[in-house]
Amino acid sequence: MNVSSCAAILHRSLSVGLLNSTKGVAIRQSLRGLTHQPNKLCDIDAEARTANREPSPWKICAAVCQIRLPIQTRELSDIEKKYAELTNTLEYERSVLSDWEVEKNRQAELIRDIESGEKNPEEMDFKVSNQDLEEMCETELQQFQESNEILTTEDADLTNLSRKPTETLVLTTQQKLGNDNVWMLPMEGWVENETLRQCAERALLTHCGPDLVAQFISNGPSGFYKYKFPKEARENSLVGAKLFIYNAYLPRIFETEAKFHFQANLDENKILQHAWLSREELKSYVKPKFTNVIQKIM
Amino acid sequence: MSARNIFKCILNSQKAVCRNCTASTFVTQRHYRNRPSHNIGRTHGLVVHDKAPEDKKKVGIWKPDEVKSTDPTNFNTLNFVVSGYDLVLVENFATYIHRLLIKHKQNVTQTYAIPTSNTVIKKMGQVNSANVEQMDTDIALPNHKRVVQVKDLPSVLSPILLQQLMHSVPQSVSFTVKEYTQEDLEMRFMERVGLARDKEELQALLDSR
Repeated sequence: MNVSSCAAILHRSLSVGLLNSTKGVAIRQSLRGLTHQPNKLCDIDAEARTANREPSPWKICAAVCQIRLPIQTRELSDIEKKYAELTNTLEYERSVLSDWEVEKNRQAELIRDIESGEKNPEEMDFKVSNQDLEEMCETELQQFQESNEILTTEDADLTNLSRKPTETLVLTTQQKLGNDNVWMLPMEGWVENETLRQCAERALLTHCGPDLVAQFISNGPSGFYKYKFPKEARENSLVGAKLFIYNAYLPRIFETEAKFHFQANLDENKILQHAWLSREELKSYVKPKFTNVIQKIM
Repeated sequence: MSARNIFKCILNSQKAVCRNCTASTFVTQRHYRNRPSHNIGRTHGLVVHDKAPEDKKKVGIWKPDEVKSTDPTNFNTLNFVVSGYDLVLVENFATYIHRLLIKHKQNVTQTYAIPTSNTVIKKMGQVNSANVEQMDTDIALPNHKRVVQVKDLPSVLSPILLQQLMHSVPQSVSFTVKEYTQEDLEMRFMERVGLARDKEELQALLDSR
């Protein structure tokens, strides 16, 4: 914004303010905005700016990239396993006996001496030896492990929220765009007098219903994707759409069952299917350029 | 010489030389020691700087730090609370957050620990054996908490930081970000029993009048 236009805007707002005050109309709200110089705010007359602008051939939309973070840690790779073993053995070799182990050895020696006859049985100063306590703990652990099964998740069902517990998942919906059924993120078109974040929250509401508690972390978008409509679908001189993608994180749900069904409020006209996809699976569902964009912000 | 001409720092023209440039051998501030204008504008040791009255430390009642941020685009004082039952992981993650914030040159005001609370799990239906010194049938699960407090976190930086932290949380550790409130401050102090007693006595005296 150069100085002349800034001055022009000031002049316009002053004159309009005067006119409005004489006619008794409410004063226009002026917005604070950032100038090109860092850390400086100035008053911008937004309406004057938009009134001058030509209608853009791009439709502005906001999309929600809903992310479910991994529930379990990944398995270690080969190198990681080897290194872990190495560090464990090193630590063990370098360590000194703890009090518990010293006591255990003393008790074992005492028992041996009593049995061989060198010492009196009265010298035994403990009832349950440390070794016995350890064995009791081990048997209890075994019982616990047997009585509680390890959860196996159904990875094949794409709507299951607990699938692929070691990976981050993104919600993608299959929508009708023109004649095609396209897999993409849930999105909504931007309306006047609404911030982009409010538009993204609206997309979340309409696609997933009010029950879902996904947390947005910023007022600004994290990704951007531009696509052109096919020539038949171009209406009102709109060439295509500019999509601003917001990240929303699902809270950690500690599921007791292996399956957790995600209840999507599917509007049958718009949304046909939904799926929770991992990084690699995105490639086979969503267009390549779009997958690149999503993968960067996952 | 040619190096100086080529790698002249652009910022030099704005009278502020960036730290990198002064440290490097390419560009230095030139002093012109053989010219009469050498040391022009030098006031070292001649001007006495008065300390502002706020800087002078007063001995008196301690006042807690401001919670509100200096800039409306920054967050108020935030508490990054890391909690879990594995002390090693909790402490390591807390130090990771601390160092990450320092690297981003944020104002970390405090890091402190909240006393650990134990949840005791009692097992029902244990067979009481004749052995008196049976091992304990109770399991004590500790909940360790560490807090990293940041002041004036810019709202531009917070989503990037949060994303990085959320993706790198270790197993069995949970972390939340809260606003720092009066309750958080008062939670750290012990009850002053003597003071409370004296206050009660005073109140009783006043009431009896």
